[in-house]
Amino acid sequence: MQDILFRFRQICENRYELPKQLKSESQKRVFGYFCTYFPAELVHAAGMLPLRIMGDKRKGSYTEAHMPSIGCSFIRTALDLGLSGTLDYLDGVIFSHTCDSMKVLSDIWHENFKDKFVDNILFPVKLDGHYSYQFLVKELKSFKNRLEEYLGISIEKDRLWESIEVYERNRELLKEVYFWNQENPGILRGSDILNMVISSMVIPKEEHNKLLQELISHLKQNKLPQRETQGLARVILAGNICAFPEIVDAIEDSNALVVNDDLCTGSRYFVDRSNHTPDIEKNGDPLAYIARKYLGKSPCPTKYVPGFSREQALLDMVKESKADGVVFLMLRSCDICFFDYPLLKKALDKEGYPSLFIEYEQQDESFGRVRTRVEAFVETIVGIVEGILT
Amino acid sequence: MIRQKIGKKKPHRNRLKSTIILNEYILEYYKALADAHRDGKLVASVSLGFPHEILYAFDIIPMYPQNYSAMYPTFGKTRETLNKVENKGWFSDICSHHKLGFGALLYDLQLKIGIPKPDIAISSTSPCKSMAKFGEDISKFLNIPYFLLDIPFAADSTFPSHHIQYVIDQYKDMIAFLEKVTGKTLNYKRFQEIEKLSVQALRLWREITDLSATVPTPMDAFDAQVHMLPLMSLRGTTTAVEYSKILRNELVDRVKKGIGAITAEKYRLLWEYMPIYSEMDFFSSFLAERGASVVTNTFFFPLLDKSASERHITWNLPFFRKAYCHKIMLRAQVKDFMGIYPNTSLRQRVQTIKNTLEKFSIDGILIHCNRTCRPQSLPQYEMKNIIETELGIPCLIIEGDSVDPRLFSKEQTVTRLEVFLERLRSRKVG
Repeated sequence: MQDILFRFRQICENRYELPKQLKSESQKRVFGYFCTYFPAELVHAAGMLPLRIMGDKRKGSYTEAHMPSIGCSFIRTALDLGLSGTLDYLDGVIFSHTCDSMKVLSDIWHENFKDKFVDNILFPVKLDGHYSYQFLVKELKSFKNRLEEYLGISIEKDRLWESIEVYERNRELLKEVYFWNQENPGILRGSDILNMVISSMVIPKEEHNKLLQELISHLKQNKLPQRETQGLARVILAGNICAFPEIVDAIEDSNALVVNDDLCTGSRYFVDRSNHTPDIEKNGDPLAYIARKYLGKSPCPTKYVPGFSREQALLDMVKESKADGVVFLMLRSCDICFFDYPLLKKALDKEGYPSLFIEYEQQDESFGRVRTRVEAFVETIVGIVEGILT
Repeated sequence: MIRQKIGKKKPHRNRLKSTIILNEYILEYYKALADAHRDGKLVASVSLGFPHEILYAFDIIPMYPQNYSAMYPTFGKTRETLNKVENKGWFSDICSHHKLGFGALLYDLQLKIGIPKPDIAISSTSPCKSMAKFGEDISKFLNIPYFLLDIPFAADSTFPSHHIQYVIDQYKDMIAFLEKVTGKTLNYKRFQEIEKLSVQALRLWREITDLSATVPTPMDAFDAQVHMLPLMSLRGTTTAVEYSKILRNELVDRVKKGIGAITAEKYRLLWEYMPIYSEMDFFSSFLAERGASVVTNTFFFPLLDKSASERHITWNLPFFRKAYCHKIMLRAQVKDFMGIYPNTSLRQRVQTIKNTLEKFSIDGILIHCNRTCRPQSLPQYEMKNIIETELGIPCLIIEGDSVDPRLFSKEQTVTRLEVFLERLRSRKVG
């Protein structure tokens, strides 16, 4: 089992090198994308590898002349990867419009890579209503046409359904591991879990599915915790992107046990909002399926779903995961996420769940302060649990 | 002796006489807002970039927290208010206009001129995504109904038909939402009349903008951003039309007499996007003293873009062709709000700026890198690169924030402005 977890970590550490190797070995074309609101199934069905660009841990010196420092470290280092030539092997880059910063990144990318395939898919901000669905189906159709024209191929309906099934399988397996982890904490580390999800956006899905199946069979055989869970606080990580999970190790090393998350490199990648997956109807339109699927995804803070309460969803997650508290893990300069925080905090306070707010940059290396704060937070939680504090 | 003194008088600004009338109209607007509930009217908290004419058709008064927050640097304790709001959990990365908006609506941190608690909240995503979040947040805190009008990004001025359809469908949904909230049915005839007034005011502003292009400019951007308030908040009422006429007439008179907004205009500048409200006096007097006039501002484009649209044909349609008329009217409004400056791509913004440079005979551009407004400031370094390389116009980046004085350094700005103006001078001489 440790081999598989090590493999996930290796994939994450070499996330921009491995697809390059794959391309040179097998001539497989690689397309970059940035966000979970990206119908990677379409790229997969065209026989190519979709690679999620999640920024880097570099300082970002190439970016300085192109973007002010107030951009988040994800956006800035992603641009740096492009400008420095690290991603020159990519056959194209596709943006889905989510936050304002992403929209700007797309604009700057268009300016600096004029000879490359750079495209936009406009995802609606409002995720329900027949009009959002109709809009997205048409957006997907027109993107598919542009992609086909660029590649000089036709993406057949059957191939697309096959890709949808492979992706659906991946989501099911990821869910299974998450569920397993909630029930049997202490076997997998929080960083293992995130590495597992992140690596699914790097290597071919079929290969990832195999790794997940192996992992699950190992998990089923061995229920013994790898670490002592007594006295540890069960926490949920909530926030934006966490592409380099070393910080999660720092949190877990400080007497916390991550039992679930609401992160876009975590559960938001594969969980459906209403726990309802649309039916696969092979006679039907695969793009209609993809549209329904992505509109029904657990929503990113940039999205609005009338009637949906993020606060209630977080509380439900806390209760279902039997968590003791929430650690807000926020990449700095993410204005949109920060708009949610006061409401989420208020909802948690009201029900008596403690929470801790941590802001960080993707480049951060030392987490001494994070450790101290988490330790203090856990002491409070353990205090509450043991009835010492009220 | 006295003559000599007058002769040596520093270049300065010429105050517009219309300002007195403007102040009366603005006070009237805020009074109407304060009395709205007593008068049986509803108040909507509205985001910028929203076609608010429909609200007037429902007797709802649009209230712009972002415009209200712009008044804090002049009339309020901005630093203290921002500190208090940040202590409530609205962290520094959030747009400072919205932080002040939260202060006013959620924590009663208001100015002497107050604003009421809104009955509904409506946002549009066209200026930025923060507008959508702000509306959603206040609707949850105040427990009021919320509607979001999602406007898809417009890469250029061609709109795919499914984008237009998406907004029209939401617009219809919004009419149903407003009918439910007010318990009234939309009176299309009234809506058409309001549209007519709105387009009249916009057309007057097109004239005003054309007049501003005159050398020397009779009204600069510092004046315009204040004198535009009736157009922003009262568009669709007779007040906006009346006031626009008064201002237009004063400018016609100034142009005839050759009076400029500043006394000795040597350089004509364009200001990119939001003003720095906390330093309006500093910028306007510092630049005026050095003969630099900020003749226009890209922040106005969202409103002015609309005056050349198809909307003017909508109110000439005979009302008996109701269904057709509605379709055309909605389509024209929707297209207007999709193509506004902040909702377009960087390339399209540069094109818009290029057109402005020619029309206004611009010598240089001051780019305000607004520290808490990411959609505005993130593309500006690239914008500067493109403008300087492709259009050959010098640009200066000014770091600051439109309402947060803590994010602006006067000393640094003074030095950089002086160097920039020297650069413009040597270009002119050369």
